[in-house]
Amino acid sequence: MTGYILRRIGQAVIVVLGVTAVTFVLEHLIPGSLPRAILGSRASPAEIAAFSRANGLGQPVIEQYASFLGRLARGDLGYSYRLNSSVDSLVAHQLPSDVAVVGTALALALVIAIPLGVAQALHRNRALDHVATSTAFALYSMPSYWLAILLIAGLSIAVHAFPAEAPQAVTVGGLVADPRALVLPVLTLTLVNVALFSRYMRASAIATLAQDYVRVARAKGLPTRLVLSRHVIRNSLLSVTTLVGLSFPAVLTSGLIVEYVFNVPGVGLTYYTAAVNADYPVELGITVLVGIVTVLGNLVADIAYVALDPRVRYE
Amino acid sequence: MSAARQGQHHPRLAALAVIAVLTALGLAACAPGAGTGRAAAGTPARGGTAYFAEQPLTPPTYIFPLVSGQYFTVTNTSDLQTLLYQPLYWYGDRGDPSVDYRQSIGDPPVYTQGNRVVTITLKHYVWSDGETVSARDVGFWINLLKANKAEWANYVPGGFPDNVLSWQALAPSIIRLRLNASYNPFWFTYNELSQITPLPIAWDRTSASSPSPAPGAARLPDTTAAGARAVYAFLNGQATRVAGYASSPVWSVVDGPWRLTGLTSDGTATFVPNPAYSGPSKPRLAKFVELPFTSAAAEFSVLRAGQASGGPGTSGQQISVGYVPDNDLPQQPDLRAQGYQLVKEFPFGFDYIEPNFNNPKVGPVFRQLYFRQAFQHLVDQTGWIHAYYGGLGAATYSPVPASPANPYSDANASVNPYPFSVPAARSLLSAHGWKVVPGGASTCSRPGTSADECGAGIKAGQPLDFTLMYPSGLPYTDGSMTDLQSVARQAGIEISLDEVTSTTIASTILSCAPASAACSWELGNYGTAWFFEPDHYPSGDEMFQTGALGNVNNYSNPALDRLIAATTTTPAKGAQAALDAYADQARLQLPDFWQPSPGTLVTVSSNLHGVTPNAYGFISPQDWYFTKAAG
Repeated sequence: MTGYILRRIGQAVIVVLGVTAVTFVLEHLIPGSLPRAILGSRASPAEIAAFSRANGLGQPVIEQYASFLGRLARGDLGYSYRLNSSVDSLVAHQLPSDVAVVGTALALALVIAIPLGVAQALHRNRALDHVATSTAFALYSMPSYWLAILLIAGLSIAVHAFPAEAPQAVTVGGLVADPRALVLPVLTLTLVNVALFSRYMRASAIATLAQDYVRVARAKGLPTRLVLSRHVIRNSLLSVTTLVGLSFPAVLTSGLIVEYVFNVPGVGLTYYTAAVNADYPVELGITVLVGIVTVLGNLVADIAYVALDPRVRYE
Repeated sequence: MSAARQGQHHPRLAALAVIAVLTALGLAACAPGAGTGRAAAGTPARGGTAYFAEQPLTPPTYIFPLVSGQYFTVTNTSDLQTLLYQPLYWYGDRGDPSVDYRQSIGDPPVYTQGNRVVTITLKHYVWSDGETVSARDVGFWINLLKANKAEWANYVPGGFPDNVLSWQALAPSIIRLRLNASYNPFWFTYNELSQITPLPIAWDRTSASSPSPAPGAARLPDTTAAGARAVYAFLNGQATRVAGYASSPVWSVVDGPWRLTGLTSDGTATFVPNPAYSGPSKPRLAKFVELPFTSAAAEFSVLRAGQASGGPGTSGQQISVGYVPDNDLPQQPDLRAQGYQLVKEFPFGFDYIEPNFNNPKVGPVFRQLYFRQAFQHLVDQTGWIHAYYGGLGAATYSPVPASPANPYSDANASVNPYPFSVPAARSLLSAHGWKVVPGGASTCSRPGTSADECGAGIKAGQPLDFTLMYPSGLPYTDGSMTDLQSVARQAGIEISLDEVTSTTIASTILSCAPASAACSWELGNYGTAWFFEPDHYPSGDEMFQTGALGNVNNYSNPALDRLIAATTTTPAKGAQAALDAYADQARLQLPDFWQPSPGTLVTVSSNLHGVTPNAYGFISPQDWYFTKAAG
């Protein structure tokens, strides 16, 4: 297992380097003048020269990339062209909001979707299943932006039940201290994720329920509660585990719409804005982080397989 | 819509998309010049906290007034720096684009010796460390600027401070500038003196550990170029510590009406009155808070949810001064029902579409005045304002615009010399050798340079076919550009629309030589107006003069150059005539295609007053006050 993890980490480094290289090259293929994009079309030649000099833009691309890797090796993700802040500082300040909103929504979605999927499997093609399936399809097909606006219009503007924006604190403690303000953004993400996860869980549970070992367990008189907890849920979770592993980077990026609508200064929106505004250091820095989190998420999922299914062994 | 309060000052701003705008100030209420201070119901009250909506995704990030283009945003300059460090002159006298000398540190400048010498007397203002704002502080700024021009967003080669040969403190409160030529006093006051912010001598040091210098000390670091560069490096370094602004011993020395007590990483800025402020308008608010937003949609949701959704200081603050996104303009009745005062703002500026005169393919076409006239006939400004701008647009016929009301424009500025008319466009093309193909691309059938031929550089069979870049995310631009494409087709002009980011436009629309690859762009629309800030005089020297930094579309007209030069050098007595001559020629010559300038709909809480217009986009929360309901 240790060897496997070390190999995966090695692969991760290569993957992340590859992603940064591709991103770096793509950024330099974008037509137009980067200094003018940052400084404006009226920038003086002296100002452009100073900016280019300060950011090493006069060097060959390969040297610029090498400089980037050198800084990365020292844990320096770069410095924003526009925000007067280092990228690691930006992420450090924004991550609590993302963890609070997206992390809570993911956890909540799992808590709801897993039993819901199992319940749908147990009551397949009956009223509960039809209602849950229809609801899931409706939610999943609904753009999250639209869902968010509906929730704000209904629960914030019309009845003033909840604030229209997420907590504006910058620490986890501050965010949690304002739970009412967390409701709408978390609810938006939760509803969409429940729709997704419950569909996977339902399909997986239906397949598991048809397995011989489940029939044997029932035949030998094992209570339904134990059949479900020991055999059905545990085995059905394998496919959802993969999905959750892939969802890890969502903590950083999938909150984009929620960040936009609910005024959450999160990493996803910063990433998008950096791309639109040619703030390449921010774009690259967050790309590295997303790459690392993606690889880690998959690694955690792989390890979780071992816990869920003793037959799984990694050499 | 936006213009005045976009993320970055106009052309520099192209990058930040966004909708923009706010308000702050420039509130030219529904009636020009009106703010929220008139007919205030209730009793004025001291205290209270006013919440002000920042532009989406543009938090305050740079406090040092000597700011480079990277950080040259409205939020940094107008919403942070000028609240703390007062400029020498305050531009924007309520709705009028003129100097407000009452609010200025400097008395009206006195020009002598053929307008080659400027003498400025300073009023008695004090820094929060007890020192007096002095002529030396003005000289400190000039010294820093001269040694660090490449770091100054507003630097134009040959302009300020290059055109200041020397400065001399005649007395602690009197400074004299000796200029390198004779300038139009209005131009110099509005475009050059506008760039001065006195800095405290306490900042004249090269490290945090060096002692804070006394104002009268000799041989301070800024008196040599090397020393001034070191001072800049120190101050710029201090300015990178955004989280420490509020507690910084450097940045806490202020002469403005406010002092900063907090700036969070997400951009929430909190100000309280500066007790040492010696200007005429002492703040009546107890606190002024600027709130960051990730989008105009988020801002509007909070606006609509109102105060019932939460208490100040956490989420759901009521926004005292906010703005209405373009998409939500139809919700004005609901906002009024909520009690918001709605104020239309139009900044002092003008909007336009840039044709690239040096493009090797279409440049020869753009160089023909008849073609520019034909194209201008296709811009339905009145129709666009009604259909796509939600009424929040000001028709533009001149680079010295008639709106907002100002002392610079003449009567011609309100007259459209090329009114919307497809037949007129067709006639102009037909009369100059084009085989007009309505619904398609017309072609040149009579090449040559005679009066009835297509013009120099245009070949037989060349089609009228252009690509027009415009920014995504602006509803009024989406609509107006689609309309222009449709109307142009009726006149036999094919326009391919290329919707791109504002950053792409800023990095693509460049002055260029015809042979260079950078000259492939054909038509560009920033989607936002040219805004006369910080160069407040509407002369054309920065935009239409041959070779000017802002002349990114490579326009060159020697006759217009002469008129522009006259606007910068004519003595005061003839200055207005020179400005009129330039404006009238430019509006007819069409160095750009004029289009409506977008405005902004500002919301003000029902009990907040004193929010007065500023045509240059500055805010003056020191003038704001709440009222208690009558009875």
